[in-house]
Amino acid sequence: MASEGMHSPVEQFEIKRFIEFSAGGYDISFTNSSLFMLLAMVVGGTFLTVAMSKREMVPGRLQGAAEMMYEFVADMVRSNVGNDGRAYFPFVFTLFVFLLFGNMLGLIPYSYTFTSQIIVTFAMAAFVFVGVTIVGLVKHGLHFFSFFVPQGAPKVLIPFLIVIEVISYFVRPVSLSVRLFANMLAGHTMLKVFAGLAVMISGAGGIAMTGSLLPLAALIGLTGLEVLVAALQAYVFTILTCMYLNDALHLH
Amino acid sequence: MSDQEPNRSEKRLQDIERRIAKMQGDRDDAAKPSRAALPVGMGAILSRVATELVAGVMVGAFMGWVLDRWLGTSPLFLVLMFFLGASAGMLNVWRMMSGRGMATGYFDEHRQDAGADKQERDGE
Repeated sequence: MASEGMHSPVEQFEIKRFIEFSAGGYDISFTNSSLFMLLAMVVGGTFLTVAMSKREMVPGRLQGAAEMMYEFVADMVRSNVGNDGRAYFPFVFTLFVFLLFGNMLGLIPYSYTFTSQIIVTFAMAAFVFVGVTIVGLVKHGLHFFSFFVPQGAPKVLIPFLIVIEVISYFVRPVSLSVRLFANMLAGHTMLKVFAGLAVMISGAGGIAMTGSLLPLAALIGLTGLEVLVAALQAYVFTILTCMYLNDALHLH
Repeated sequence: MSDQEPNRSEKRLQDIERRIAKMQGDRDDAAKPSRAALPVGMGAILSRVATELVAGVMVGAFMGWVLDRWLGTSPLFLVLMFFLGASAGMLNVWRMMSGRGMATGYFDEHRQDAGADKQERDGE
């Protein structure tokens, strides 16, 4: 694949160190991944600040977009967690904005999608998981563990069911992170494969070059799809966070 | 003019009361879940089911492996937890598909995810 100066479709996921750092044996270099996390934060924050700076009664386009995002997440928290969820709205909203801008910035050519790295999504999912567990423990104390005891099950089966429940609880951060990571990885690889195909066919020269129009057309469609996936996966991650939070706040 | 004053303040008071009631009403309304749920497209469901199943097996096997290393009982817990993990994955899929949300544990049938919904049902 690397012949003729072609790029491998997975080259885009490579981590490049911009500023090298290491502390205590850990590599904490400032990489392209860190750069885009920072960018997602800055662009997201700037967008919301600029959009809301005028505070018009009748919102313009920017303000409308910012308010739409706010109301969207507010409604999500309200409908999935209820009124006690208000306290956690800032966190959920930040999470959503960060992921949305991270995914969207990743679609810009030459940029880097930090959500396509499992460790990034897993760290976020683990943070949500630990945070939600702590919220549950603080709110309900040891009663929280009754969460794992199925009600009305035969006594003989209870030990097995508890193990299954505990595993299914620990599956949460894994499935949460894998879902986001896999979608972004697959989508971006697919984009690069189709783009590579278009370039390769156009290299054939002559009338055969028109054949490259097909993958190019597919690429346009796929890019649209990826915009949808980027928004959708940010949404899915956020709504699942809300659901987990709801479970921790309202035990059955 | 002056005899209208108490009337006006009365009116304003009522107005304020009405507005407070409305705001509180809004809050209560807000608690009513409109159930903004996960996407329900075929592809979305398929990918979610696949992730849950695979993640269940993975987490189960990993926990078994850690237990084995700790207790030196290889491969007892690895095998056991592999299957328990698979069942946990299936349990999660069932929970997802039956619209019970992702809550761990079993529900009585009337319980809904957001507490306010229950009140609404009780009211009926």
